[in-house]
Amino acid sequence: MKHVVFSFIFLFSYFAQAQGRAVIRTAISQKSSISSPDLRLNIFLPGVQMRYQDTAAQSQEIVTHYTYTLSFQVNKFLLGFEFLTQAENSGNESFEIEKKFNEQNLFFGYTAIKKDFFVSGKFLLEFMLTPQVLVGRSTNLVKTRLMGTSIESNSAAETTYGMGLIGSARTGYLLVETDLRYQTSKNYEPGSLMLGTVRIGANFQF
Amino acid sequence: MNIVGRGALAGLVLLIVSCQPKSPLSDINGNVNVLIPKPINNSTSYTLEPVQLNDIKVLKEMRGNYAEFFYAPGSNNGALYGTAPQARYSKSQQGFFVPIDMISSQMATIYYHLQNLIQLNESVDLQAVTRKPFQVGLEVRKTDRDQTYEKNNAFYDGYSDSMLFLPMNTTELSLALNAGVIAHEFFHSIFYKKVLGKTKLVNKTIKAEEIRTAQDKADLFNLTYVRGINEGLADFWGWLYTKDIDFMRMSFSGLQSADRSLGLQKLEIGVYQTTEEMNRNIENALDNTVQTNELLLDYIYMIGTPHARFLRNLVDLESQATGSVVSLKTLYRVEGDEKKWIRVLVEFLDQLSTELANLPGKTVSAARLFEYIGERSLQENLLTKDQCIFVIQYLGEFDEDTQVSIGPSGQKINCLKKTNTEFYEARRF
Repeated sequence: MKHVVFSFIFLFSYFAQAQGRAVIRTAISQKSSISSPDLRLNIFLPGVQMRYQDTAAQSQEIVTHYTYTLSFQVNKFLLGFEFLTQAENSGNESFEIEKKFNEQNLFFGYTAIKKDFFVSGKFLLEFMLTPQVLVGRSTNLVKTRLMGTSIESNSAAETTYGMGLIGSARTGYLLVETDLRYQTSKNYEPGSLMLGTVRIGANFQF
Repeated sequence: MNIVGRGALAGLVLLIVSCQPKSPLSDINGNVNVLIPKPINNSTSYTLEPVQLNDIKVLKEMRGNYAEFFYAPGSNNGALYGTAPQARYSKSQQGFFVPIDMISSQMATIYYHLQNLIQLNESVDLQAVTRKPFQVGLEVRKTDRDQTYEKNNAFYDGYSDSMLFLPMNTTELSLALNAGVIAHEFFHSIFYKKVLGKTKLVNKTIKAEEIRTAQDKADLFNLTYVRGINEGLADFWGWLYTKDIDFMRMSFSGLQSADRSLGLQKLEIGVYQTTEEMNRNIENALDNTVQTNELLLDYIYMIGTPHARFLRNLVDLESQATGSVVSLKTLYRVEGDEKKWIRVLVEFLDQLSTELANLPGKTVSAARLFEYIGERSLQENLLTKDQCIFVIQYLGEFDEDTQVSIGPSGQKINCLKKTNTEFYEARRF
């Protein structure tokens, strides 16, 4: 766990160069609170991610991608993994193009705002806003079929970068998240795009 | 938000802004390899193969020295206008680009074939009638008489000097991916600039009530003939490019393709729409005052296809004699005799244009192309013996036993060996 914490310290110190040493000192100060960490595992059902991007119809539209997400939370720090896939077809029986897009992302977040409410005096409802940064890789697999014969072409893996904000609502085991991001990759069309994700999962506290 | 949160946000913004990659296609230009469907050399089937597209200026729009694309365009002042379609490619690990949708595939395929066809034009001194880059409209909205959008067609528009493809909704190969169709439409641009655009014969709608005088009837005859050979020679061009006698069937497997096949049966040699048959069919079309134009538009293929079959067989006979395979795909790279039939054809167009301009009130001969080949054989080393015998079968009633044709005015037409050469001439006696 110390490795994770120190990784975050390094990451934040890198991100916050412009902000000066105060940020580093504050991040380091988090270390002192890990004596009894709030450690959680978040497991999500398959979610949907909407990306505003180019389509085969020669227009920019909201395109649905499917996501599979897992994340760990240590106090205010969040580390997650996301797998994302989307398929698109165009053409007809004689000539058809099938594109499968895959992406794997590692995201890091820090819960900047957290508000707790008691519903009916019983249920604790927690709201969190977590700025995040992510890095990952994306690939296209294109299958081109021509009158019965086909060629599969794998693209080179391209790095993805992104930043965004996760809004979470948690009560008991239930966890609902909306995730708004700005991402870039050479496998995107256009190269940079806005996206939004909705996912529902369970959180397990250790 | 505490200082850590603020710092994280500021850092993230800096990171994203500094690391943001450009669109993968935005900076790519020059010579680019793209996967397209293309005919297999000297075969009637297609394969998927990376080809080199030269002199690309903007890959995202597939705009370059050879083609410029418009999506659902309009036309004005002799040019298309509208937005460029956006190409979408994935770069394969082997280094070539793979189109990831139909429109992108169409753009790359058309660009490649226009590049070959324009290079051919340049090699046979047709630069003056070659628009470069060639304008191409995709998913063109065109309404028919019932004001519904037409589909499954492609045509050359002389007014805007552009090649236009309508949307396809069939299960067959898109016309925009069909190499023969692209070559066919490309030829129309040559014909328009060589013949149609130089005469008063324009592609207008024919109305029976407007055909009154002998001059009107002569003009209609000439227009029908010109439209007919325009289609026929365009089919020949499509065959030259693909070496597929039935290149249409990839996109139209039905009757239209069979009727326009460039295969020639022995019984069909010497058969074409004669002047008398043309006059009779035009009169029949004029009698049907409601559908005159439609009937004539169907009829022009009956005029054109025998011309396409004639030229194909002529070139095939030469290939058999020399053992070479003649096609635009090799012609545009090879200097020499192989190009002579293209030159003959182009010079025929110039001759036809001149004759049409000097024929007020008169009709052109329905056998004009065949006569022209026969006349040229007198002046130059053009025809082998087999070719000559083939040609004279179109110049009169051919007698298999004597190998002599009897022309319309009763004169004999014979194939004579030229002095000191292996070539023959179609001599009238």
